Amino acid sequence: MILVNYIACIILIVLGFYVILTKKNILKIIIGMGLIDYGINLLIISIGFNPGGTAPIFTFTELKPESFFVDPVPQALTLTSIVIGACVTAMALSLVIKIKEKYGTLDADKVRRLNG
Amino acid sequence: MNSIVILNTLVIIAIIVSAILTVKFDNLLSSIIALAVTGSFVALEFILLHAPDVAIAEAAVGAVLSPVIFIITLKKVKEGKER
Amino acid sequence: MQHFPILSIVTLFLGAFLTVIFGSKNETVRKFIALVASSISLILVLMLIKPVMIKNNVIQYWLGNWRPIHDWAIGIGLEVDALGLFFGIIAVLTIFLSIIFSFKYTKKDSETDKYYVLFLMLSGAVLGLVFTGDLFNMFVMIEIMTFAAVGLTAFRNYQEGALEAAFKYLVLGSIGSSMVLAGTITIYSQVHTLNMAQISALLFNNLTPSALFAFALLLAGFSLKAFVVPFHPAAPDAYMSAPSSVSMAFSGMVNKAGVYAIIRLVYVLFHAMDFKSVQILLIIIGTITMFIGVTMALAQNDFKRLLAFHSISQIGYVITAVGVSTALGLTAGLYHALNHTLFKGLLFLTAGAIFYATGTTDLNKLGGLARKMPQTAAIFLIGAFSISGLPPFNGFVSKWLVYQATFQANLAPVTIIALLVSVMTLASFIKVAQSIFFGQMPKEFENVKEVPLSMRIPMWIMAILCVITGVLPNIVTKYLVSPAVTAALNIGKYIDLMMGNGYSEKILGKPIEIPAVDFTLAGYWDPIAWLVLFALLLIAVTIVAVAGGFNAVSLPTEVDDPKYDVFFSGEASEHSHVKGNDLFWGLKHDLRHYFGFMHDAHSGIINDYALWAIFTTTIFIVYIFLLVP
Repeated sequence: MILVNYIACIILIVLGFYVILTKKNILKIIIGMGLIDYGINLLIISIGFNPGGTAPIFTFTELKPESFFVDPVPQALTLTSIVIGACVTAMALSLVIKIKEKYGTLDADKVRRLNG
Repeated sequence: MNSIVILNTLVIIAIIVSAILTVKFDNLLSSIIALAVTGSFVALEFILLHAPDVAIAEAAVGAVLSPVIFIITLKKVKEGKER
Repeated sequence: MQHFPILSIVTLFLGAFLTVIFGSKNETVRKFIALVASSISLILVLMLIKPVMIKNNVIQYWLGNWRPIHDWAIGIGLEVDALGLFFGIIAVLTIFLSIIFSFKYTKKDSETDKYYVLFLMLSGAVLGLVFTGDLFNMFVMIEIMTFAAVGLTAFRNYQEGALEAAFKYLVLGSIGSSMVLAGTITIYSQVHTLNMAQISALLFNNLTPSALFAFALLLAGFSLKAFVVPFHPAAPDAYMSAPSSVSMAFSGMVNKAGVYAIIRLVYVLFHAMDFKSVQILLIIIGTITMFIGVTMALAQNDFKRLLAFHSISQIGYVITAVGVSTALGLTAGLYHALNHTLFKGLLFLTAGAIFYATGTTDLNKLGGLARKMPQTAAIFLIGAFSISGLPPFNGFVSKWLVYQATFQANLAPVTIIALLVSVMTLASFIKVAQSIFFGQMPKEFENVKEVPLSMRIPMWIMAILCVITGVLPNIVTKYLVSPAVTAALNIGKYIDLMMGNGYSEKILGKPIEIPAVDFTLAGYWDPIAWLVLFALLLIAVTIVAVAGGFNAVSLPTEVDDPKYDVFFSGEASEHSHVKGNDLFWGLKHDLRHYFGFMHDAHSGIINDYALWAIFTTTIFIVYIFLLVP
């Protein structure tokens, strides 16, 4: 429950949305999507933090009723989310390579043959 | 204020500074390197929050894999700077 | 019986993996695997109708047998009640018919093994979404669905605009998924569980500000998946560029998954339908969606883009009817969702047949194809009359229920707008029928033939289903729709059966009684009477035609004398077919400011589309904070 972490997460997410909304190069938009992923992953782990706890990795004999550890469920969610973010980046980059072959430009003002 | 709190605050300030640098650079290669630096600092923050397996995954993906495929794409697209 | 839901999901994913291993070289093997996987899934889901819908059981299944300990859920659970099974039946039917259509349709494409892999993963993800009972599992299934959809949109990358449509769909879909994830994690920080039944029990009368923030984010994220109006611009590009069997799956399954998620969120998770402000929000969004969808569709030049805008408009009908939260409204919404899959799938398959036969879907280049493709023309007319709401077909029943539900809730302006939208739908389909099927045929389509048989069978099956659900509404409502409505409104039973009996003591109320929905379809508009009338007229016309009453008096000189030709002011008589652009030109000229504004707003630039999405999310957040207590 650390306040500084939450402020950093909000700043990362807002910066990511700013890049998607205003920058015109398609590769820059993909960098913005990556920033949003970093912000959300940091938010998930910061929610699950108990002050004074240890890492939730135990063997069977070490786990006692008075062990105090941080919440393990958000860590599982974060692992899934990191992998999904990497896959989205890979798929978007392969589409960018084909767009450059066909359209000749990477400017968002010119890649707009479907409109209206 | 013990040292853990000071270290946490310093790493958070480093994350925010490198994220702002990612947005402000015009050259695409510099932007990608700033993104990789942000990812490394986020992995360091995960260690401070007692999540070691997530830190390993984030370091592997955000600091090694993503910049490598970005740089491969830049080479194939032959694009240097924004606009 | 407990294992049928999980088996039907796993079969589809297993089919996808087997196609990669065995089917990359041999074409017969991959078609066989796809057909077998989808048939097994269809049979398993159809066998679940009897226990779940008729006997009112609810099937729950904990993955890995991790049952709740001390009343706290620790595993992922699947819960199949009547609402989930209703959408599951729609999904498996679409999958099966689309795979049969795509056997011959992808004959000219290369690399069709990747098509079947992506399509089977898309269908597995949709079934997983409607059968699950865990909020994070829903997020993972949405992500798989988005990936497979992007891959299938960019499948024919020689076509104009397919790659940019896929890129825009990826960016906007990623924004939506991020909002769903942020909403999920905000809910988790309050209740410390991810099971939907337990969240619903712990949030009853307990809405803190962080729960309201999560509600707004989840509503915005799921609306982006369902393509409601301010989030819609990626939809027409994506539907237009995908192959037609995939477009049918998009408008039949992927939209409905978004609508199912909205219903589950608003009715079950947050009990938010007791607040009047949430009802008004859904009704306003639904009405705007209906209206903007159909007015944009009147001015389009491409057949599949026009069908995509009509798809957006019909989803507006469903969301408006769901927002009027009476039992009649929910019945109308769910019945219209079922009908929409049937007739919109039929129309997209017709577009696919025309593209296969002629190679283009531009309305200004086609014409007069009814002579060469008569069965396709008949099926298209059945679909066009269904979507406009004419009596013996199924669109009439559900639209009548929508009008009745909104009128009984004292919302007369919404009824008037719904009627206007119906009329404009009929107008735009008359335009399409004239441009494609009737009129003169251009010279390059001389040797166009009818499509092969394996492509016609799914179209005929869907047309017959359209007629059946229109003529027998009582049976469909009693066995399929009413159990789903009961399940959506009866939340205590959902929670009890998931977490063990007695858990819903935290919900201090009693279950809501469901008033019986009776179909007094106001006398004149009884569908069976209209069908009998049409049959009598058909017999009368046939008798007169056979007895020779329709032979026109023939002039002595028919063809060769040039003084009887039409005078074209000195030039030879040319191709004078009335094209799609020429119809309704007066309406388009009178409203040119509105149409010009809308065409400029759909500019094709991706930053503008993202701006609409984020702006609407902000309005949702502010509205829900201010107005929901």
